[in-house]
Amino acid sequence: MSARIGICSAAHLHADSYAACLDGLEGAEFVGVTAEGDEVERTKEKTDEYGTDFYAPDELLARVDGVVVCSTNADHGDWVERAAAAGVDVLCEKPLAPSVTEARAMVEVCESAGVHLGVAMPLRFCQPVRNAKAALDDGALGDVRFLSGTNRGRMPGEWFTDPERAGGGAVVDHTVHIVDAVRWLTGEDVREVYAEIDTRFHDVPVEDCNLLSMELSDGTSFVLDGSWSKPDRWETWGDATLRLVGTDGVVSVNCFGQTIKQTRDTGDAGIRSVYWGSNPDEGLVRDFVDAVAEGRPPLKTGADALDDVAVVEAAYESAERGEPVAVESTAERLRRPERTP
Amino acid sequence: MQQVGLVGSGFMAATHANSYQHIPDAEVTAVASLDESRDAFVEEHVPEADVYADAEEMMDAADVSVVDVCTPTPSHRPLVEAAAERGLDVFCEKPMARTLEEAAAVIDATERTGVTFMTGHVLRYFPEYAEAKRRIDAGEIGAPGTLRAERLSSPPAHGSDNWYSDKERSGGVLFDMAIHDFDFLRWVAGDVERVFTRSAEWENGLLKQHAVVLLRFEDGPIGHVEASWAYPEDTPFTTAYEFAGDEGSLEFDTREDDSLRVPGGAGEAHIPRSPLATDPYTRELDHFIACVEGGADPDITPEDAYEAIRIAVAAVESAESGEPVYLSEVGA
Repeated sequence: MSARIGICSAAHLHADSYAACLDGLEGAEFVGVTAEGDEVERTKEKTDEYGTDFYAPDELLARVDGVVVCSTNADHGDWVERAAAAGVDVLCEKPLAPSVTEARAMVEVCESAGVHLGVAMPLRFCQPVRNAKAALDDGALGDVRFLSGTNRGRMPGEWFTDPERAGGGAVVDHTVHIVDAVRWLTGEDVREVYAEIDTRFHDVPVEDCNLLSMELSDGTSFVLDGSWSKPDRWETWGDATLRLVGTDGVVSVNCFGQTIKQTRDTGDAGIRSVYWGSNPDEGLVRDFVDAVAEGRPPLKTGADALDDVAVVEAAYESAERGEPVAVESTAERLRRPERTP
Repeated sequence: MQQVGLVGSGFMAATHANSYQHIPDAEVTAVASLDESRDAFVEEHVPEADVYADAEEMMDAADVSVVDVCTPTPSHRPLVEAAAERGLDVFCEKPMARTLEEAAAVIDATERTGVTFMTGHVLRYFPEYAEAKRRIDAGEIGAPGTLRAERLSSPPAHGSDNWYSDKERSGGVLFDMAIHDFDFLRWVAGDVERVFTRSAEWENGLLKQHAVVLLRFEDGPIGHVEASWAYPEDTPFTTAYEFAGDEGSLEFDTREDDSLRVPGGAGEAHIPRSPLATDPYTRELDHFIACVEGGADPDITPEDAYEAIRIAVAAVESAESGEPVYLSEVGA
């Protein structure tokens, strides 16, 4: 039997890619899309492109086994709550929520409703990242001592620069992908963050410079540049890279490095690089569909994402205080004895 | 015409000896080196030059007007002082000194004696860096936002007595590698307000070290300087930058320079390495010699070299304390 899948809101542009992956996917039935409020119009406009139908929220949730939530960050919680109430599994666009408190509430509501909550972390399905993981697991690098990553982009505009709907700027948008990849690759958590953030590229009410200097739970150094520093006319949307420096070797991963250089004199004129590598979103959507069908959690769970969101929170705190800030992992928090008043 | 007394017989001394052959107003007339390889060095690079084991003896006895210091960092101060006291103009490899106290002594000696003095922050003479500086100054990237620079290498195995691996002497990657980018970024973006460093290091016969320094400049831009001696042996020396501003960006990566490739290594030894008509070291020394001849002050001032060391000192302090370090708290 096919897993019946829907998409809640196309406010996040990644909905386009997930819809394309769902289209004709074996074992999946792409039932339709839904949205609420001012996201309805944009989402309805997408039904032709997606080759699917628009339903009212409750109607869609009644027809599906799983949904992908691609709303603004601020609305993730509402959609997850509604899906959980309808007994529907969820794959939520990243970041799970702008704060650990909200993210934890989402995890808890899904746990008590008995539905699985996953978070869209496509880099775990990026083939170069998987190859690096194989090298790491094989011991080819010795002990990893330093990780240096980037996840830059153009300034995305729209709701992404609205502190209310996005929950922040480049820190919220471009921290969790590489943080998750590093946690997945090394099995370590981030225990300290120092952040240099600012707004220097665009006239927006959120930060667009995001440079983080972190330490993992085993003492490994980890730095990340997640700035919106790519010019509007840059050759593509941005990048995702990671350098792993070990005692026995170095591996550098450029997740979207497989490109063609295209030059057009007419039509959409200009020079751009066109990605031709394997599409990590296909693996992400495949895993979610299989998880729904098999009644198991997806590879990246909401519970695991709490520790990514904690890094985002700590980054803002560090920038505010001008010093490194400790990050308490969920595991540490659970081990900590409750204080008596 | 300047008579150059070269101090040192290692990698950089060889580079400089070769550069002087392309500078009409200078000739290497003497070489002093503690290393026993000095005779072979002179034979190979400057067969006309006199050979000395002692640098001060060379300064006193040889026919030299300029001293070029290409020795391990801790010897820079005494050698520059000795030359300056003899009224000899001095070129000194970077970093100018190992500590701020030594750096201050170097400045004092050169100012007191009035000799022409310059430190080898050669990056300013690399066309790919000089061109970026020119374009940033012309406003072509707008206001700088993030300034990233990388310098990645295997640990240097060519130093005498493995001095690079001794952080007391070399200062490690932050003093020996990152200092190039500290100087360059300060040239481009002005003075630094604070730094925060992560550094990992281990031993493997040689000191392996990888470090990233986040810099906040007084004018607001954020810098990322990544320096490594952790790459495997035989990795080509790699430098890269990405300077992004509110109106555009500039990117460079040596790995993408395909101006001269020699598949299979056929006859590689006979093909000149630098695909530039004038290599950066020659441009650097040519400028210095022109200043000596014409009496002008070199582009790179002793204060520039001092400030680069101050950033490196702050970066090392941050790596050790795990806290951001403000430059206002470092030896000012």
